[in-house]
Amino acid sequence: MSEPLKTLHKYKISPRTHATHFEGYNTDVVFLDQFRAKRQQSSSALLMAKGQLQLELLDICSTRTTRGWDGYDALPITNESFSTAQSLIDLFPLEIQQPTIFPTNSGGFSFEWTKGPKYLVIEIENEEISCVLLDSKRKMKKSQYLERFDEEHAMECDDMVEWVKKEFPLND
Amino acid sequence: MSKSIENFEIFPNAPIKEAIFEIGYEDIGKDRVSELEAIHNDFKAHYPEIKTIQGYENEMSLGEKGAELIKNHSFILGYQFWATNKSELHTCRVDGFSYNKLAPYIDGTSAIKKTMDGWRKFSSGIKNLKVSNLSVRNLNVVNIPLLKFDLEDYFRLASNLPGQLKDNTITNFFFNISIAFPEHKAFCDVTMSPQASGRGVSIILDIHAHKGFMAQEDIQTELEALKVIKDKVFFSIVTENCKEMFR
Repeated sequence: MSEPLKTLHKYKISPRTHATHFEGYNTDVVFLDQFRAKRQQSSSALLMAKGQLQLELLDICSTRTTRGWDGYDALPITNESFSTAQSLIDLFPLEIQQPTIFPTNSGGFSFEWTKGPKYLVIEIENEEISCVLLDSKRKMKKSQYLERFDEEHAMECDDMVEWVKKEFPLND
Repeated sequence: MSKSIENFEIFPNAPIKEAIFEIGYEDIGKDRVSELEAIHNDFKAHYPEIKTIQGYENEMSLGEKGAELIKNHSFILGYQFWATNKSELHTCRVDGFSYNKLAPYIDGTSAIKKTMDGWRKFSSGIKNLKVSNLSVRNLNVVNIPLLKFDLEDYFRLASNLPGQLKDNTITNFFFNISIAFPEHKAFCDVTMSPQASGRGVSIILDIHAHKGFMAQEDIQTELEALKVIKDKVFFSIVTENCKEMFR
């Protein structure tokens, strides 16, 4: 491929590459022997928030690679947990509040939202996902557990996404 | 009931999730990012919350030695100043200033006025800015309450399968075109892609009208022209079926 270096929206992409995340939209990455991307965040607050979440995930992973990262016995973040968390973020619609992401000592992630009496947590451990929604004002508790993040469990996943969308919209 | 301003209908259930009015300028460099942080004082009264915008640079090699991360670092590119209502903000970056209005979006005229008010304040504090480009962008999310449907029933600009594949189904797509408007020396990029929505399907319809800026031009007049282009593109793309959902 002999195309010159070109600017594709906010990405500067070197020859022999195709776009990876295109400003928050999901497209597949295909690259040969070298990949170089300088990312400038989109001026869109909604697209930027989603990209930021993916980067936060990467940041957590790259700093929790050895056992005992918490000073005790915490396991390093596993590839499976990272992959599950990435897929879950892809499912989040644009117009939701950003969760706080924490690493867990079992090598996974925890996504948390809090707003007044409402609290929602999604815990990821390898391929497993568990979710709890609490609302002390409405005296409500809902929970969901997925053994695996795949087509078979699409309905349960949709439920979780709906809870986030309904309980934690962006400009609530 | 819907009404019309500037010949374009305003919908009570408009699909717009974010409108961005942007004034781009030549990159002032990362070493002036502290000036962007300091200017927040002038915006604090209406936009009290400040958030950092991070930039990232990565370089990876997949040579004989296997995958190798050559460079990976982050830096500050600017700041977002959020209003207390959480539905509007300014972004101040090393290469641009914008006013962003999240849903509910009322009208472009008042948004352009807010953009210009903010810009006057911003450019009087940050010196030697050389405006280079302008843009008006709308991020729409069109919720279609069906799992199986014909895209062309909702959008006039859609991917179609050729005759030999007419019995097959498109399950995902990513569509991006750029339309030239030579009379305004402008372009309009249209991007369509489905996003997860729990039930049904949501289509992101991203319409981004932009142009280079010349010194003799007036920023406000050009933003207004870009807004008209953006509206024209939107109303040309969505079908009557789609409009019915917005009414």
